[in-house]
Amino acid sequence: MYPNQEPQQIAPNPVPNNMEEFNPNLTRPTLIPNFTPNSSPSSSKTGIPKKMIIIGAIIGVAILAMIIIVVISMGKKKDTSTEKPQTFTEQSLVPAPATSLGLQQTNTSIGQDLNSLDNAKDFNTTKLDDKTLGL
Amino acid sequence: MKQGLVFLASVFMLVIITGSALAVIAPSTPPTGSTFDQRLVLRKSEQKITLDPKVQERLIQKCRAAQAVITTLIHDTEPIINERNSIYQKIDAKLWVMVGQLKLANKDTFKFEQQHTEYVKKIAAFQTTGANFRQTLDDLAVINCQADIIGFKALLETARTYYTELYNQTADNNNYVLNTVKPTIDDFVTQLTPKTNPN
Repeated sequence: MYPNQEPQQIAPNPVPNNMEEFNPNLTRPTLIPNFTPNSSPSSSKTGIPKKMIIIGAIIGVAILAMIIIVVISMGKKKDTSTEKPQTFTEQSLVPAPATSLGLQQTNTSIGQDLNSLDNAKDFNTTKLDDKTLGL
Repeated sequence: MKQGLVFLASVFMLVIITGSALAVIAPSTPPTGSTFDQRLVLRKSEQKITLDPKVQERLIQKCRAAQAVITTLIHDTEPIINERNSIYQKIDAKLWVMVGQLKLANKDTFKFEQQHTEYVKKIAAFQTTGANFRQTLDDLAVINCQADIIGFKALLETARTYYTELYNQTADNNNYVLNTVKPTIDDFVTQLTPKTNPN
């Protein structure tokens, strides 16, 4: 091939777009175009245009972004709702001088804590004896 | 006179014999990270078990069934000890807060703090015994009792001792709080109660 020569000039028989033009007497002309190299459309094999795919992808990304924003905002709301009791407990733990009433209440609650323990039930003396163990 | 001396000597001997028979061999805490075999050797050396051949035969036949009961006991005991530890810790926290509040109220807390420290020691002792008891039960559940019935019996006696110790420590903790700590708090309540003017 010479450098200045165009490819069209070299190709003696360029492949036509439509094979029917080439052979009008073919019995099954509809099948032949499938084998020609330029027969498929430039958009896609499934017939969905590229523009539609791009628009669909953009919409999908937008929906995902909206879902993420909604989830994050809900999480922030939960955080703020849990922060309130924490600040309350912090405030209640501020040390204050002892009062007779406060000490009395704590003393009573200590008594209640101890009364909630049942030694006889929890530490039954027969739990580990030979009879219980079947020895 | 001679009869009196004989009587005194016999009483003395009786006291010594009874005392030695009732004395419970206190099991020692095994070293941290000890293996099953190390603990087994320790318990055997502590308990010094000797078994009559007939008793030994009976125990070999029945020890597998006993291990099943012990496995159930492990599951039952775990929450009991945990609950007690939790309540003791809660009381400890309340005492801490009270010490701070009393200091802020310019009260002398020296005696109260000593009692608190003593209580913390009692809690720690209970926790140690509880951990040792659980460990011994675990060892009892996994030992090949039919192959080593002396080891099984030694572990069982150790578990029984720990169990009795746990019971006694629980009672001691309760009594200490009820009879020593709470009256001290009552004293502070009296001190802090505003005195009403009789007029």
